[in-house]
Amino acid sequence: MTAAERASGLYRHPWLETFEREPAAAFADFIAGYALVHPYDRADRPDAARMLFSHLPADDPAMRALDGAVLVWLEQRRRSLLPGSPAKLQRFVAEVAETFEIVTALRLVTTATELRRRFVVWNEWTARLVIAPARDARAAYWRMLASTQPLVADAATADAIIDLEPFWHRLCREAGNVLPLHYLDIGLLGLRRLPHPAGNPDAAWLAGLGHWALANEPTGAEFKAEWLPLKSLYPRAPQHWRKLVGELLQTRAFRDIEPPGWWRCDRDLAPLGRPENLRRIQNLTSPMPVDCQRVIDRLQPELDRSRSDIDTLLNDHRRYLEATGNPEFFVRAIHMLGSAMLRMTGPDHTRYCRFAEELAREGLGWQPDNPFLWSLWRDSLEARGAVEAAELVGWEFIRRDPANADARTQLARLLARLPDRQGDAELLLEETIERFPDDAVARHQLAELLIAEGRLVDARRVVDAAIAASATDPITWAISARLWSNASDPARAMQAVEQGLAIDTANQFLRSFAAQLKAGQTLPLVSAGLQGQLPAAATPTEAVLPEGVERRGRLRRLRFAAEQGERQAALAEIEQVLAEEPGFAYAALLAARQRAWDDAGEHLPGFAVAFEAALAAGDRAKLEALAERFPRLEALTWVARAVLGDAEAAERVSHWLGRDEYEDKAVRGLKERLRPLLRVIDGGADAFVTKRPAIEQRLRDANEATLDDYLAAA
Amino acid sequence: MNFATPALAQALVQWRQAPAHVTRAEADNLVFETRVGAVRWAYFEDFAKDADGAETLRRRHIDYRREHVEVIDVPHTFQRAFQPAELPQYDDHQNIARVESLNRPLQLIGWSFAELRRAFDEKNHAMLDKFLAQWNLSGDERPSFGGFAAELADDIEADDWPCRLRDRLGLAHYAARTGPVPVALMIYPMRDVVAALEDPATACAFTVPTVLDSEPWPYFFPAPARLPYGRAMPLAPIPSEDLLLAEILHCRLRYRRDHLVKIGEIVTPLGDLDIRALRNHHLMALRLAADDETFGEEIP
Repeated sequence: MTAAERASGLYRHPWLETFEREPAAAFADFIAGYALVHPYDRADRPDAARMLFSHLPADDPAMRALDGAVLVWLEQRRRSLLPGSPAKLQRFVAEVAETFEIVTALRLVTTATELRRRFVVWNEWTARLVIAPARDARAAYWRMLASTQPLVADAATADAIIDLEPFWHRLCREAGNVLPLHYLDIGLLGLRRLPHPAGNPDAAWLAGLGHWALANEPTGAEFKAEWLPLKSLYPRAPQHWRKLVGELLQTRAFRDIEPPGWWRCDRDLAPLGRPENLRRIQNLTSPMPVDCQRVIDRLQPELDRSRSDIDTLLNDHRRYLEATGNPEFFVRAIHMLGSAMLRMTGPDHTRYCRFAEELAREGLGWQPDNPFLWSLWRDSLEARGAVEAAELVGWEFIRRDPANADARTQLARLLARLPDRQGDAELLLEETIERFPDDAVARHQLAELLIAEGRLVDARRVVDAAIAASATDPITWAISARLWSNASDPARAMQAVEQGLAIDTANQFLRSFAAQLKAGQTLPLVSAGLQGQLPAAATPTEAVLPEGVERRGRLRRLRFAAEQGERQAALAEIEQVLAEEPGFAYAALLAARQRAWDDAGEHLPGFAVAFEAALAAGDRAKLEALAERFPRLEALTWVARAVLGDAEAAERVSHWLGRDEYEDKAVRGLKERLRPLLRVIDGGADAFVTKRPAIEQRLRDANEATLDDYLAAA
Repeated sequence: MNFATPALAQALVQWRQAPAHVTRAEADNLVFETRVGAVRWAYFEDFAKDADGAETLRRRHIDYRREHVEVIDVPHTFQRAFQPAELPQYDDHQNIARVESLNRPLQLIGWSFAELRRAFDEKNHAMLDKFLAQWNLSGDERPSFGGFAAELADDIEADDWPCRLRDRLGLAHYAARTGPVPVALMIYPMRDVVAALEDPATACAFTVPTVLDSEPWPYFFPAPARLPYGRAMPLAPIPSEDLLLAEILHCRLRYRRDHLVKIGEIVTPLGDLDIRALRNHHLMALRLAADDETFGEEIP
């Protein structure tokens, strides 16, 4: 071919005709290396794809066909079982990674948008496709997301895509500790390719680098190796960097770092070490709670009249966030403001609820484990009548945070308000009491529920059990007093009131009860807080949840049903889910727990599924192998081995329970919940036998919480 | 080499009868090859045993390359258990030259070619080290083709070295028909490769390229066993056996900054090649160099 042909774009490789006839099949052949694309047969697939397609305009039929075919191929791969042999598996991973490269190289906008829109699904799948740095489809997926941000932003409507900025910051923080160090480059690439940065475009990636350093404490040479290449890519006057770095280092997260901190390696930034220079740089400040309160105080029944105030506040927060990567102030404001919005009962109640819902999700992007934001999200859905969605969010909250008793009692409160769900609320509360015997809230909530149903004898039993277990608070005594009073025993009612006042002398309810009893009155039986709230408070309506949250929420509810005796029905549903989506880790995990998961067909399961299968099979060797593969989650394998009778593991668990150190969220949660269970035991292996069911249940909760949760609310 | 399995032998015959010269050439390479060890050939034969025709045999060849050569552990190419075609002797102080496409590593790190070129021209060590670290991390253990720098000295010195090296080393897949191909010239001593070899007891560092080390590829031509090295087939007919260029394979080397010698672009599009003429000329040169008139067979 001639240069003129190339310039005119006339050159079309003959294989393109074959491709356009049947794009999906032809692409499958291409990526496998079978396609007759002479002379590109020997080129790596991304290089070959460039040479075949890169000169074609975006609206060329072949380009359009490629955009569709790539997505079809990826979908087929995602729904297939992973190959059994290591040789075929590494090839499988290579082909997936190469395909993600092709999406970036050829700017396949439809595919890129779809891969980003369903982040949770693709992310969960690619998390299993990590064998080595040279066979890492997850890294390739993330890199594709980073590189195509401007492309997707130009093409997609804003609500069709998720904001990845918090994700890139998280990658930067976790690179070198939770994740391998080389993921730092992907996190930084993501921040460098943010499509519409709110402030200085250099500030975001600079903050990412700073947070990486903060989390990893690199040596001077290690930091320099990351900083100088980036600095070279962005030719700026030294003053520019001094300003940005100075601003960053004066924020709260970096208060223990003496300027210029890690930038000491760069003589352009050395002047930051002199206080007079630093003083010249204005502090970055976030809006304060008082600013948020001011907006709350001025909230109008009509959202549009408040919108300007709200947007100003949030955008100030976002600017600070982008420049610092520190979401602390932002999520606090979201919680304050969102909670206030739910209280707006005027004509725009539903709009306010939706707004609060969006804010909760945005905040969860930055802090995926924030319990207040999960509560806000669930409550905002409930407040606008989307009770099914609210319930699923509530279950997902429980799955993610099994050490949080509030997540359970809050969901039980929601269920209790729904028609025909009081039974589930009761079961959930009973389960919560069993798991959190010291939690007074679950006990008195259950008592209140039983009182509302007229089951006073059962309520009395619950209150007495709480008293016997010393799991009481003033409300427990108030309930006890109400029950005795309505059982025509004012003396014991008064005794209960006095017990409650001994805990909280200023308690207004108890003081009022005391006065009523002294006046010879009978106390109200049903709590004022529950009256008028049964059944649901709002008209049921629909809500679309993020795919990952909805699917996991449904499965967590299914697990609950299975544990309450509906095992066969639950299993059938899990198997159906797996038939449609074999790579869905949570479904595989639950199937493995029921010994209904076939590990012959899966050779690279994530930790959670493999752990569940090993625990169900009582396979100590597999648990040991898992500990080597996932050292971060090793503690779970010790506990499992101890439960299976391994004395050495029991000893290790005993030491581990006594230590306090930085740990993975799931491991930390397990420790919190095992400590009370094993507190009377001094390293004895017997406890693991006698308390095996309770330990196993906590272990399973912790294992479920290990499932990947990046951008859960996205 | 010949297949013992009749169905495979028949499939290979069928493959060689393909009307397209490029396709026939791919099959010829299996027939002309003499250096694949018996153990490896038996493995390949077993691997391909389900092939029932020319196309399925071709696909099994590709599968073999993808699953046993283009890998993250030691490729069959170098495993002593597979009787590799190890280089008999060499002075490990001599330099190897290799041309690498830069498209993938540039995309990986998110830099443009211009940014890399500027870093190279300005000797920006921090950037170059970062680039190489990323590139090294992403590479697998597949064999690397290379020639000897001394034999390529004139081409390396030329202004249009990217195109000249492409043509001399037979890198037809860098055709540049739809745009320039950014490339790097890597030059490094053999001893660096030897040092990179993890376990000399189970694997070797250098081999003569064989048909099983590439996918079916008409620009590869097996060298007769009498020649101590492979011989790269250039992209223009060679007039004399004196111009046959030695070609070797070596195990994975992590590049250092001093290995990166030049950066450039292949800009001249490759014209339509007469594969029949190229291969027949190359065959003649090989026969002369090896003094073996019986080696191979011309494409009629």
